[in-house]
Amino acid sequence: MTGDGSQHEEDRNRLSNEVGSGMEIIEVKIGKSGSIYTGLEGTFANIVECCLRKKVLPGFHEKGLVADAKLKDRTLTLVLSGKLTGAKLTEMMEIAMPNIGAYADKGDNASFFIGVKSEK
Amino acid sequence: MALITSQQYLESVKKLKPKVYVGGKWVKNLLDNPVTKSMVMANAAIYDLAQEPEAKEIMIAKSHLTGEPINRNLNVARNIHDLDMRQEMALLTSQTVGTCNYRCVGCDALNALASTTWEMDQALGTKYNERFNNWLKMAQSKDLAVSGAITDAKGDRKKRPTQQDEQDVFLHLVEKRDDGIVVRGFKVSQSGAIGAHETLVLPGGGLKDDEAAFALSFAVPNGSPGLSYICQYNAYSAEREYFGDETEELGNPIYGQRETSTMVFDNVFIPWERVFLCGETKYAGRLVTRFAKAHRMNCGGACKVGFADVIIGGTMLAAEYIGVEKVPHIQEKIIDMVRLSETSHACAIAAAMRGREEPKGSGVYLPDDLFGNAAKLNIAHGFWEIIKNAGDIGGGLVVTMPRLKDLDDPEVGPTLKKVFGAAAPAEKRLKVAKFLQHWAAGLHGAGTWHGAGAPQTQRFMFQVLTDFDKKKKMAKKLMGMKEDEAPKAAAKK
Repeated sequence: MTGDGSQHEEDRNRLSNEVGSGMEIIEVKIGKSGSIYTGLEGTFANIVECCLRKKVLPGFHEKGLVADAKLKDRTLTLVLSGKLTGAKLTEMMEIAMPNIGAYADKGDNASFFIGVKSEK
Repeated sequence: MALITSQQYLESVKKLKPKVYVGGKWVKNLLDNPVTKSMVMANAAIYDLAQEPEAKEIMIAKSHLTGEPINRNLNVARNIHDLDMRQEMALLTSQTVGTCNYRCVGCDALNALASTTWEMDQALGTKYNERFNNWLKMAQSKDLAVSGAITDAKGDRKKRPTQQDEQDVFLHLVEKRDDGIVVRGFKVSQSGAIGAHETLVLPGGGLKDDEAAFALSFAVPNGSPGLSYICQYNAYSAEREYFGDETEELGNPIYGQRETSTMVFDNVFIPWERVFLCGETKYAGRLVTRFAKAHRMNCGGACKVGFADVIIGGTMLAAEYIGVEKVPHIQEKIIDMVRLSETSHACAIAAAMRGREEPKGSGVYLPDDLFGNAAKLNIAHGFWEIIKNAGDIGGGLVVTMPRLKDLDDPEVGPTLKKVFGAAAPAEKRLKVAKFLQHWAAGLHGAGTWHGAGAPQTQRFMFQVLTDFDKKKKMAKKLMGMKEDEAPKAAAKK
């Protein structure tokens, strides 16, 4: 294994196994609001791969958009470059998630979390 | 939400941002580019079909995983009726859009995977079938548009995958990690992945023991980072871009020609939960053969028959518009077109009716191999004849006509209306000529020849599947000829 995310991969695998049913529930938090997405198991790992290793946001092809990404346990903290409003961040994540196979859903039993902030 | 509407599909496409290159530029929005839009609109029309009550039997199936109604494009055939309705779906969708049902390859790929992953789990104790079923349940629950990618670029055909100077000409494994795999390489001549939510990737052919890096199958979301699509570009693409919103000028105004792309995988990460074959070379050939078995019935014996139906209709209109519809040789040529297409359809129906569970115990039904190959081989040759007759009856106008909008030009329009007015007004003649141009001078001849495998592959399958000795024995028996005696080498000793 190589790259920034290697130390967290065991945790991710363990967490994936806990969820069962073949699906993952992911909550995207922007400020105080949260949106729920579901995707096949491995979806969170895929997002982490994109943001942490490749430094890209799915569905966005411009370089430098991901200013910073950190993974701690089951939470990915994402900082996007530029002075982006909460509404813009929400709009961007609504594009990013389906492009990696995660779809908007309802519920509150998220197993994984993505906190999204704008670069100051 | 097991069935979505075309509007819901189009809304979802607005959020899909695959990296797509068309004729010198990157496309930011699939619905803004006239070429990519035609592909998306064809998919939307297929979603519409599933909402039509009269198409329900064909377009809707019951999920064997959940019991819910699902689009047949996401169904695993569990009996003969499923196979029959599958080939009827290929017919109906082609009649409806006059181009690819871009979910068709994905459907046949998922049937091959349902069969082969089950077999692998039985033999090897793997978890591929469980993973595949989880993925399928998700795809069915969201009614996703799933395409399929099979054909590798293949490079120098004299060399095996490991011997190629450029390794990427065969899609291959780069890295195996705890959480998934990283893949790299190309898939070519891929239909409709740009407007799909996901694509199922299969190996391009059988593999040897030392070619494990190429034995890969997985599902990849359309917008995965590292994945890009370089679309085909030809005179029809340029024409569609030139006319923009004036699609009435085009042969197939809304749905266009068949849109394909080269898929470029630049170190794309695939989580294990989406991997359905990784290194098991023994099963790569089986997987592809089962895909081909399904696809030759559908693509060859039904999809192209749907195309033939609309070509025959257009050709008859062209004959009527110049007053030759009752001329005997015209009628004979049209009957020939029907004979060629219906013979292929009969092969597809036979392939479905003689279908069987494969492998035993899997619950997955696949069409009869010989009849499926017969359907494809027959239409590969027949389609050239069909479009030849369309060009013949349509006349030189099919390729010499001016633009349709030239009829409205204040300077040349009145002249053109006189020139091309016949048993019908010039507008109708030119409209149907343009429609036949789309077929007779378009991309579908070579497309039909190669789609679902070039005819040489079907000839090879005929060789393998036909019991020639049995035929010789029957002939000898009828002639009263004795069977050849066995070699007496042992007796000489």
